[in-house]
Amino acid sequence: MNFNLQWTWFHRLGSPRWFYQKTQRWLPWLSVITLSLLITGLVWGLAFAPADAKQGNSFRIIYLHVPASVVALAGYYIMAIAGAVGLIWRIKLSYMLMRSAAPIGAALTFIALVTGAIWGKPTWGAYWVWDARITSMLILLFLYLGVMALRHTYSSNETADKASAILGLVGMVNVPIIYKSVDWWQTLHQPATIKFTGAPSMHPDMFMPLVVMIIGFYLFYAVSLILFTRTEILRREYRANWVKQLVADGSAEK
Amino acid sequence: MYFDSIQQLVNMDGHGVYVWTAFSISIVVMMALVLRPLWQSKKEFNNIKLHINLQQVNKAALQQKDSDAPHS
Repeated sequence: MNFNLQWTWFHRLGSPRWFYQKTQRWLPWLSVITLSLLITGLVWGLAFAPADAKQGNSFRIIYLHVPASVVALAGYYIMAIAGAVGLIWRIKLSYMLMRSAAPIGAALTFIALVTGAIWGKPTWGAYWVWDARITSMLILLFLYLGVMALRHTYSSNETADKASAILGLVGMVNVPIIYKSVDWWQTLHQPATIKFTGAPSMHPDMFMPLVVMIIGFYLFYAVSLILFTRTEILRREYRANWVKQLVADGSAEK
Repeated sequence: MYFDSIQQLVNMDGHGVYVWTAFSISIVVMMALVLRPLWQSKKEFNNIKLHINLQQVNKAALQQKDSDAPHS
């Protein structure tokens, strides 16, 4: 009896219906908080933070580049773990989350690469360098694109889900390599600005807006993941009665 | 503000081009990450609505056929 009680939450968490209804209530709040953090962080970073002594104003790109990179990497873990949970427990919702995480991760990796390239021009004199950090980020982009593309190579959703989950797990090897690339190889890319241990290598006036932006990007990731997953739920669960009811209620309101 | 004027904020001592380009590209991509799923959800809603309507039409047609058929 006790065992059943403990596991109900787990199954409820895996129910697309539960997710769809809960997120409906969370979304407005989450969106407002996200938007205010992003606007605060950007205005603070772009207009109020002091310029860097060596790099001048071009360093302000950090307020987009670092948060996008951090969340693109964390997003890969989220995608891979969602795929693993799907493989092990066969939870439909976790496959939907995995699917939805791929395009967001790819877009954020793209932002990281493009802002990095633009930042490279005034700082290093070149848009692109085959540096360990940059190359491993490019591989991350291809891994995300691979997971996205696998969807179209199988006619059945189930097989495609499994294949994507396995690709995601195998690609996880790349993530620690990206983290460590600046330490393992002599690279042009500067070492990490933020470390889990020890003080940040930045002045608080510059560092605070960066923290705001990183939190903002994490929340933005959550909002986008929820939106993509809700679409995926509608796409896959269109036969479910609760979805039909939802659509019928929606059109009755208009 | 760190800058003395809006002009300086835009120019950023010559680095403005880089900073504002990076900024614009990021914003466009992030907007797409929100608008695309919203737009697709709407499309799915319409598809499901069509699906339901089609089912109802089929059901009605079947009933019509049943009542039209001569009882033997």
